[in-house]
Amino acid sequence: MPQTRVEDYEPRFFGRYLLGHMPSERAVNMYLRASRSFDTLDDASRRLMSLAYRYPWLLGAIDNGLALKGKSSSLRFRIWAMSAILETCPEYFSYFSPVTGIRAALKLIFAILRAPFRALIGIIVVSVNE
Amino acid sequence: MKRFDCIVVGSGATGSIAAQALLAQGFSVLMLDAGQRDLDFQSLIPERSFMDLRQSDPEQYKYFLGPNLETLGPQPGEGYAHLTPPRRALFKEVQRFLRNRSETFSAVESLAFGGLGSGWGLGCNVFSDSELQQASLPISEMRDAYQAIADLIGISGSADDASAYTHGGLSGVQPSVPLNPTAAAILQSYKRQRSRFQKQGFQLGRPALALLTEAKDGRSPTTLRDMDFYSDAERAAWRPWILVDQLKRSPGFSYIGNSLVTRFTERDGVIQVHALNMQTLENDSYTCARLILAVGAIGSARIVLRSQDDLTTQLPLLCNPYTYMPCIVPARIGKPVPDRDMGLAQLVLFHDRDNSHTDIAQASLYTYRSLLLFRLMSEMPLGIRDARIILQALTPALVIAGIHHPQQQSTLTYLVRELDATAPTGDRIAISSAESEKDYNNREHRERCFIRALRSMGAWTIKRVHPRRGASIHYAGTLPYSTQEKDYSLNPDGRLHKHKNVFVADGSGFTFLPAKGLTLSLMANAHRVAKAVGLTMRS
Ligand SMILES: Cc1cc2nc3c(=O)[nH]c(=O)nc-3n(C[C@H](O)[C@H](O)[C@H](O)COP(=O)(O)OP(=O)(O)OC[C@H]3O[C@@H](n4cnc5c(N)ncnc54)[C@H](O)[C@@H]3O)c2cc1C
Repeated sequence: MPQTRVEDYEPRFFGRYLLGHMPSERAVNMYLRASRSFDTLDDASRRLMSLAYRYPWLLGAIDNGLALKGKSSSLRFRIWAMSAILETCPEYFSYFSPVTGIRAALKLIFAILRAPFRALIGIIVVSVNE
Repeated sequence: MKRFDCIVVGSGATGSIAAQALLAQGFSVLMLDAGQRDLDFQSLIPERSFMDLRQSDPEQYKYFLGPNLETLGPQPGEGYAHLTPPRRALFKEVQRFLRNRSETFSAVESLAFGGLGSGWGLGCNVFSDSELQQASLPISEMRDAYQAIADLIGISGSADDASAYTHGGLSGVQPSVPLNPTAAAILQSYKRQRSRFQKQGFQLGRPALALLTEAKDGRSPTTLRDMDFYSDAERAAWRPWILVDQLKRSPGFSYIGNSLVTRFTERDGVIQVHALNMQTLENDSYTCARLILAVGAIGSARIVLRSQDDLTTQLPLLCNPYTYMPCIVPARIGKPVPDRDMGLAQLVLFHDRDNSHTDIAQASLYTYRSLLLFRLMSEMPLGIRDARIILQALTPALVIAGIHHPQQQSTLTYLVRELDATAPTGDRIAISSAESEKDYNNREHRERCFIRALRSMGAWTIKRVHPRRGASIHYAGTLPYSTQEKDYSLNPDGRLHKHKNVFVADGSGFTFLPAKGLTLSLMANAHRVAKAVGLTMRS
């Protein structure tokens, strides 16, 4: 059955992935409000979503895989929407503001090294679920 | 019914200037204007800096994402994707009243009070003599008019390698705002290899902006709050509505908003203007001695075609091809960003192949901060979380180069009026646009030159994005100037041929569109046309 309603745990799940911890209730409510205009998840996104619920550590790989193999997927859109909402919450300002000095270099190197592995796993998972 | 000397249609950059020039000559003016306003955002945005708001305002989502988070929903079209919610208010009621159809062209029109100028990027350029000639604009009249406009609106800029292409010989130019450190790094690289770049035809400098850095006529200088894409609270940026609000205090001026002019008729030299009340959909009509259309090149073509009941004539349309390229300046990764800044163009790079001012392309360089990261994330080949982390490190080093190319008249891009029973006006404009192979090759070659030059200045292009034609929002040339009395063309003073008293003051007459911001020239031309209208009234 297609998922027609965004469940309450969806913003928490995405928020936790994006921030590394639970998002504020305000951010959750904003997502739920915005989601009224979202399209329903396409079939592939729904399959990927249930997989990610079962194995939350897979969401990062799926997200990277979709960036390469499913840019217009409704699952990627929802993660992006949650990120946009978090960016406009003052409590998460530091997650989106420029980092400087050695921290910037380290963050950049770490993210660049990690992304290809995640993308590789993601592409496989996304392809299997197409 | 009160009869006016002149009716000016439109309150945009051209309409406001034409009305002002006519009033200054002592004529009474009625401005008929669609004039949609959006007052929602003005009260929403506190007068604080971007960085301050980001850290402290819990309601910031209302102006960054929209009160109903509408930026996250389906978008009305490509031209709108990068506009912030307050700037999208420019397009209120457009889909309802200004119908367009095109597979190949995104036309961006406005029915706002102050028109597109309520959101323009303030980039000012004078056209060179050769560009004026190609555009069929009289050189010495335009030079005088440029100065009159600069005196009226206030322009800031610098004396540097680009100034011949930006504010040219204008006097009274205020100093530029301080340069952002990333842009300063690029400028320094350029200066180190200046003669090499100049041999290749490149000139880099500060843009001329209609942005005050010193107080003028009751307007304050910019405080660099970096909220240029959201709010005009300081009135440091020149917007046409500032002028129209001023004109409303003049005794000879009347303003009617919510009025969509649909057509005109001219009998025995008297003009009847027909308009649709946008709220009640009732028809109104007004009488005047002179009609001045200033609704943008596409809008004026629409009204003229409708007035002739014409469903077949194809009118030409000029629009600068536009490409944008996100670039990284590696030397700036991890460097601090300034607290005070601005989102408008920091630098302009001109490519003038043979330094003759005849064939120029222009890249405007913007630093990226106040548009928020989420707008870039979806375009990156990375998961959203990784994109965020990488962008946090890259933001201080990020530059967007927006390249405009020149546009000559061509039969490949044109518009035609069609019937559309679902539209309140019963019609729509269909636009067809294509690029010749020669133009395509020229553009490709030029863009590769820009990429190489930017790289030598320390800015590495990550990606080249070609939005749909029309995305430059620089339109002109639908009713080209002609010295011959022929249909759908303007005489050199802006009079519509085969009419005695109908004039067009927007860019419809231009026969060439240089790769420069056209709005200063649109305003100078409107000023010149209004003066010519005044002369016909006196005689
Ligand atoms: C985001 C953005 C950035 C830009 N940046 C720059 C820049 O840096 N430099 C530059 O040179 N240019 C820039 N431009 C382009 C510039 O804004 C336009 O060239 C200029 O404002 C056009 O002015 P106009 O008076 O010809 O037409 P418009 O601004 O379109 O004004 C038309 C007016 O007519 C009214 N109107 C329309 N139809 C009707 C009708 N049928 N009846 C009654 N009223 C009507 C509208 O309400 C409006 O008041 C930018 C545009 C945008 C949107």
